[in-house]
Amino acid sequence: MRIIHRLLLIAAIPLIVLTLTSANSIRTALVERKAANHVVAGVDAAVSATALVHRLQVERGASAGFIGSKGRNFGDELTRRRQDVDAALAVLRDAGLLEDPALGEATRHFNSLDAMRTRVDQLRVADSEAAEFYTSTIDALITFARSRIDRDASAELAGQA
Amino acid sequence: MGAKGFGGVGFTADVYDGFTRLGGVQQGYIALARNNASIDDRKLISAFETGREAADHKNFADRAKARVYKGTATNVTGADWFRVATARIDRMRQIEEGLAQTVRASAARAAAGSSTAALISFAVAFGSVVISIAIAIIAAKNVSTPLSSLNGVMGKVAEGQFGIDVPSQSRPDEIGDMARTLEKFRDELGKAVEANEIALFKGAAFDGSASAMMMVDTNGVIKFINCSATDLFQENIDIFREGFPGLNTDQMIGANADIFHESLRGAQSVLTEATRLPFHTMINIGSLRIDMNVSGVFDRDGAHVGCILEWKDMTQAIHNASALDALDRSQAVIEFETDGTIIHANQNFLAATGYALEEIVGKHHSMFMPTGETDGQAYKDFWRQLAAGQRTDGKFHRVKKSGDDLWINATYNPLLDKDGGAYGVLKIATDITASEREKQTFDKDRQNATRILISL
Repeated sequence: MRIIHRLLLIAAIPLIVLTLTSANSIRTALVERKAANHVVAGVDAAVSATALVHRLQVERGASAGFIGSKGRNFGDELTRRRQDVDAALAVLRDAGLLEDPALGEATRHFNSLDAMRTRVDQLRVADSEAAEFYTSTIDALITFARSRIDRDASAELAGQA
Repeated sequence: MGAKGFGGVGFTADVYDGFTRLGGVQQGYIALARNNASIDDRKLISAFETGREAADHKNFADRAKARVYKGTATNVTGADWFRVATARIDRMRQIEEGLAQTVRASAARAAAGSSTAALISFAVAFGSVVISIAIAIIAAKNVSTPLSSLNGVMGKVAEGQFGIDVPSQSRPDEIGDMARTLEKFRDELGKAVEANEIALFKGAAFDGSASAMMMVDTNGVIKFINCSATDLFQENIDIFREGFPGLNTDQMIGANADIFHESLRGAQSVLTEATRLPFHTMINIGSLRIDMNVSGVFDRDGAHVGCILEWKDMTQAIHNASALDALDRSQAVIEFETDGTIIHANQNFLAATGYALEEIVGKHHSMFMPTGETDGQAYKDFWRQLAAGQRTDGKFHRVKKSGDDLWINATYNPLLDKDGGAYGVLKIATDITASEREKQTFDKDRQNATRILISL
């Protein structure tokens, strides 16, 4: 082997080590960035879910007031609060979160939401049943939000590991 | 917390339990958020828990509890409850948004930091690799290129090109040292080759010399004998063996010069003593007379490494010299160029002619000739024949410096070289002027007597 090749080989060894070390640093930084993006996505999903939770709580209260007053009160309020819920639900749908299996029971309740609203408007549902419908939906959403945060936190930890 | 139970009907225990259960879940998440929040976010959560909305909600909850558990819930309408609960919910949502925004900003900073770190890592690594490769290539070429040049020069020097320039000598590093050493090596090798060539010439001259020579080292061991020496020993082997029994000319190389101990007694001691060199002596080996010359052999540093013994057989020369001496003492001798120019003459000749040597050297033989005898063709033919190598002898009439007649019996001997060509003429003469005068007187008297007798 010629001297020039030996010298280049000597120089190549630390260069290879430097390259591998740098590649590992770059990979770590990219994983951290991906984990941060996961956190943002998880937070966005959780915020969207809790926003819907809040809207559903308000709609639940308005529905209870409407049913309790035999339809005399909360009519306009109920209409406005239902629109808020629909808007929050649309955000969740647009974010693709409705396809997330973690939503579980909530998905089924979303599909029954219009039927429940019709029964409320027609005063054909007991206030306790309506409250239970909204409360179970809210519980499922809260569970979903918590699971998303936990999942993204786990993904971050896994990515950093 | 919702407003189940409002709308005109009173709170029941089930309704209140539903409210408190849901509120407990919310409080649990608020506690969890507080535990995971930063200091600023904790302040925000605390502000919420002690804020007006929370106070209103607690007030209404206490009233509802009092009503359920035999208390009173005065002045609490469904609209009031809905307003208070909704305000608390909105406030919670604002806090959540704030917390989420904090997390988003933190995550965005982390992502940006990670991107920057990745970019910096890549840039540093790429730059380091590129710079390192460039430096490595330059450094490698800086070493390999001059080494290749030096290798080429070494190849040229090995081929005998000692005039080639050695590069990289100005470098201060090991390559410069190598180049300077190579130049010194080139010079020394050139000198060695030149010395070797000279030695070859000298060896050839030594071997082919007409002089009989042998080379011995400082221990007296015979290292070499040239052809003339071998011939000398072989041609006179019987004589040499009289003095050195067992002498074998085929086994002289490697033998010690002690084999000539008796004859070289004078020369033996000088073989190891350079200060006594050159040395000359005449030795006798049987009937041979040997002129022995001993000269030293020295290396380039001046160290004495051996001697050259030159054996010159002077037997014949001494014999010839003796004969010539005898001839010189009894005869008139003169030496000419082949054209007749006088080179030398001995005392007998000078006495016979009356000239001094300086008066005749360089002059022509014709100065001794009688007037009128040098003009004819005969005189020219005389020297032409001598120049051609033909000897001439007889009685010749010549003229002394005084103008008197000089009669000689002479032999003109052309001196011949190895090829038979004449390079000189040696004349050996005997002065017969007296007898020639007596003879002429006798002849004249006899003629006079004859004439008288005839006239009588």
